Amino acid sequence: MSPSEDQLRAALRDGEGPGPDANHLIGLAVDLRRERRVRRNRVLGAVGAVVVVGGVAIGIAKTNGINNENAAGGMAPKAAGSQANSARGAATTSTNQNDGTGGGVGGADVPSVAGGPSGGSNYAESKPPACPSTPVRYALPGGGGTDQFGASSALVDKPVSTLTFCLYSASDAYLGSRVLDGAAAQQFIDRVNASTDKVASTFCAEERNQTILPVATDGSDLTALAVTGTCHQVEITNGTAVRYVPDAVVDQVIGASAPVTPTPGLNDGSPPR
Amino acid sequence: MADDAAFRAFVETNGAVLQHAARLLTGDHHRGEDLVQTALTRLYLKWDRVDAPLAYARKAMVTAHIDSTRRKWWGERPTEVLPEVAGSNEMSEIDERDELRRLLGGLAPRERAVVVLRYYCDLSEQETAHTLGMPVGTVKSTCSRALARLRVEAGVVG
Repeated sequence: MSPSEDQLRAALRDGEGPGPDANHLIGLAVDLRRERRVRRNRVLGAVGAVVVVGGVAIGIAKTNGINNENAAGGMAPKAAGSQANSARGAATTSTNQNDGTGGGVGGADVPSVAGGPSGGSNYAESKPPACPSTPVRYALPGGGGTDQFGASSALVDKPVSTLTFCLYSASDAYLGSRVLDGAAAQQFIDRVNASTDKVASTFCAEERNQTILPVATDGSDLTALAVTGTCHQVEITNGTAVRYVPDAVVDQVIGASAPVTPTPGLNDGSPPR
Repeated sequence: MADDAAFRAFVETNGAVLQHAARLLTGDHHRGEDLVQTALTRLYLKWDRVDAPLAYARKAMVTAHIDSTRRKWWGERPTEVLPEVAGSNEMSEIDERDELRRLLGGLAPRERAVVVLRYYCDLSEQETAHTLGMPVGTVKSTCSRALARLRVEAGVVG
């Protein structure tokens, strides 16, 4: 037998029966659709549960992280405040108040400083030194002044990592401190060192009593700088070198300045130039 | 559902042909019923989105059949003795038609699909190629090879 195409067609068509029941097929399809929907809902439910649990976990982790940051940001000022308190003994008003923002250190009466201890730093971390109970003062040889007795030498001869600005009242009462660290600290020193300002011809009462405690990048404490105020000008000295800069240079760091009252005709001993 | 009536009409019109094609594809009465049921259920679920229901049903059927033969737990195992074709026992006499259908069961699934689509469903080579998702040339060569094999087998039997 060698089948032709017609024979093949006939053979294939032989035995055709009735078709399937449409209602049965519809019932099967509806069941299948329901089953798929249930399966899809289960999967979506599982995915949703995973997302919710993950979200809650992330939320908790973030909340803990924020709390930790707040705790870290709040502890440093308190610690510094405690140091300040211990340094000045029982003197003066509260300096420990801090809103925990900005990383500032010290009293509540002085606004925070950007780039404080919790700010970014490219230098090795070092603990800011404690402020002395009274401001550092130097008796400049021969009355001091620009270009006299080595006054033009560098205020700080090493790269600095931290500058602690200790603030005092006119009666030498400790008020608080500010810490400037990282690149901002070095920039401040560079700015002051580069100043060619001469002492102002008009003098005022020295109502600005501040001390800057520099810490080198290697962690060593450097010679403290005494900061005193004249009219809109600040004198910064390490006992030998001296610089005069506009008071805004310091004030923008500490955030506020002690009031300076001009007193014409009064001078601190140095001849006007 | 609004389209149930249209689906019922489609099944009444084409169900018998599809079911018989499924039997020919599987070589088994019950597996053929299962196959057409699977294909038509899929068609129902996509009824609103299908433009050519008959072509879709054929393609679903052939795809499901070829797919099932790929699975070892479901596929056919080669044997020297061809299985009995359901319904053939009802015939007291084995004639040429029965013989051809028995020989059809010895073809590979894809060859069988080509023969069924071409000679039972009367599809053109292009339509067969589209349904099977293969080039027209492959359909031609597969069909030619299947017919040659059927002739050889029929000659040996005859």
